[in-house]
Amino acid sequence: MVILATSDNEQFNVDKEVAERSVLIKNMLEGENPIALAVAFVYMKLNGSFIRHEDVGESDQSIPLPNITSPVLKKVLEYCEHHRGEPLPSGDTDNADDVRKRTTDISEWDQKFITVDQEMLFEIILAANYLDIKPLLDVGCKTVANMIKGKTPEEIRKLFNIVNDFTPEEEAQIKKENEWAEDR
Amino acid sequence: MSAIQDVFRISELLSAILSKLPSAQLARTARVNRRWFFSSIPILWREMCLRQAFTPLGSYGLANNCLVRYPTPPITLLFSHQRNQSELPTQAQWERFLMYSTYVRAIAGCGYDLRIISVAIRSRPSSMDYLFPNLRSLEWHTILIENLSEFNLLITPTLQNFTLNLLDFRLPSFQLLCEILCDRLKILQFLVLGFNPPRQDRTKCIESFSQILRACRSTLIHVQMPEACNTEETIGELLKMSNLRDLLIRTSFDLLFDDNYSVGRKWSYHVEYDGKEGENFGSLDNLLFTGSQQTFSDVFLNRFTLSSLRVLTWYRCMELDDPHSFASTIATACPQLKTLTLGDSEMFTSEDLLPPIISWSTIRILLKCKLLTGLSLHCCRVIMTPEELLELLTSRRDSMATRWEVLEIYTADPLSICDLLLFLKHCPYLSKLGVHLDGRYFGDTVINEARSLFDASDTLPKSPGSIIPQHTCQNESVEYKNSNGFPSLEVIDFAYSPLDSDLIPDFAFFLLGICERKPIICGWEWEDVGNYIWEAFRVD
Repeated sequence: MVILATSDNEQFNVDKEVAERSVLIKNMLEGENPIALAVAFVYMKLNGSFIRHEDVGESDQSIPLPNITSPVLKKVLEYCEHHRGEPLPSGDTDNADDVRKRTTDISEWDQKFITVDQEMLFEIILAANYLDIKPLLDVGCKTVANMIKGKTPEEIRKLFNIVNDFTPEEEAQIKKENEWAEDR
Repeated sequence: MSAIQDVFRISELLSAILSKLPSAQLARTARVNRRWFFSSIPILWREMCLRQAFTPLGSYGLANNCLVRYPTPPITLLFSHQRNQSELPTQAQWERFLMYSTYVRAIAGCGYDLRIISVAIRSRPSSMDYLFPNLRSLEWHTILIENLSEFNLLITPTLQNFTLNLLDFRLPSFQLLCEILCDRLKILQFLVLGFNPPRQDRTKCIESFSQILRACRSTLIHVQMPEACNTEETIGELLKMSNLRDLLIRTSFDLLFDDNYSVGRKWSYHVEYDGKEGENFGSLDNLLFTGSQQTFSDVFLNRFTLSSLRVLTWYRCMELDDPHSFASTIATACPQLKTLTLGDSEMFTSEDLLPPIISWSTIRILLKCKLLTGLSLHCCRVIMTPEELLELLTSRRDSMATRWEVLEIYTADPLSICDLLLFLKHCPYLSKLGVHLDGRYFGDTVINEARSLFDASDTLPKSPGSIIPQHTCQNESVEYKNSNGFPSLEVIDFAYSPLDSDLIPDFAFFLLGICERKPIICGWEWEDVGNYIWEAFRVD
């Protein structure tokens, strides 16, 4: 079991297999990994502190996640629990051009899982980015992309409360330059 | 709403979201605001390249992004494609390119630089005189100039910096090119030409090159000569320049030993031939020069006054026959000299079979020479035995009048890897280090666990110990004590040192610990160690 502590001081007891869906936690638990060790080494050189081997291994100590609140972690763990045992994506898949893009299809369970309010959706994206859970980040990004699809710039600004910092002339210029792409 | 703003503030996340959208939608998201614009446009245009609508890139383009854009308004644009006759751009693709140039102009205004690896343009529109009006800087690396019309569009009269590197030199096109350049370049300040003309074309090439020099005589500040262009004619042109500050003459080895193209000979020849007084490199500040010791003496003993020269680099410097006469020549010819560099700091690879190197005994003579007092001496490649190294480390540096830095050291005999810590302690400003290691990896006993190695390095005193005198310079001393590793070490070359593949992670770990920057690791089979380090930094 691994203990994860959120920013609001709540502790979660999680199966190692579930927690290791997060590459960040996986690397922390695999302290023997020479790369992770080398990173830790650089880190302690920078800080002047010395992390003992045991500090990052399996122990009673909890792993603090200062960027994540308990409702968000609960949701993230729900995702990890459901997808436990699935093979982790290798690091290169996002570079492969044939796999990428334009598919905003999300599996049924994921679709249901990600049906949350906007604030929670973006919190999940931030958490997935921090914890390095690629598939979850992907689901989040696809969901936001689906929200953007078919909307005009003005509608997008309204949806996410974004301030327009272009002058009307600039906006017209960009529109003109990229018109060719709009009607593809 | 904070999480939403946080996500959009992280450009990687915004790009991750936008990359899921079709290009038609990207054209719209580009208009949301500036942040979205700079995230959308690269994806949109990259997409075009991938679909080969824009340039005929083929698999080459997929591997190397043909367009490199920057999050801030682009200062430099990179456009390349592999030249292949069957894949010349079509009219539609060319139109896309023009559209792209419009886009660049819209964002960057009138000042931007263009770096072109190779552009093949079959047709051009008649309405435009220049592809990028107001272009200030053009860096062109290409295999050969085939079609001058493509080039014609790029050379604007506003160019201040011009770099041309040709792999394959063809005289007729080069001559035409020079005519265009002479006609257009009126305010050129930086001229860098790199190519090696074949023997039969050299005379004509030099003629054309001199023409350019003549055309930009009053504006040129920085000139980097093409190989084999250092003749009496070009040197004569250079002497007439009133603002020339940097002159760089690099020569490859084959030309270095070719008497007809030896720098010094031509220089002295010019002086005898022309014989005019008052023509001097009076404004020259920085000179990089290639030649043997004989030609070096010829140049500096032959009446050139380098009265304002402050930085002198003797590129590809070999071992000096007579350090004393060398010192006196330098002291007489260059009264203002502040920095002297011997040897080239480039081309540092284990494949370089003939590295120019200087022995420590020569350096020692130069350091003791009173004529060079106050000079900062940089020696790029020093070869020393362990005894000499010990002498260096224990010598009283403050008693030496000449400040010097070893930038690169080669060790004559194999060392143990732990001895790198000695270099760290005593030569903290090394930028390149070549060492030959013996089989004893970590001292007398092989330590398999890299952690113990780190512990060992920790036991070393942080400041120089008793045998080493404190630095006299206060600032240097502070800087020295604060550093945890080599602050400027960039390259470590282990050449053919034996490497036990089981110890690769340990070596990587150790090297990471003693280097503050990400070092480049060279050496036979040592790339694996380098890869390990890169991997670690990537994870970091």
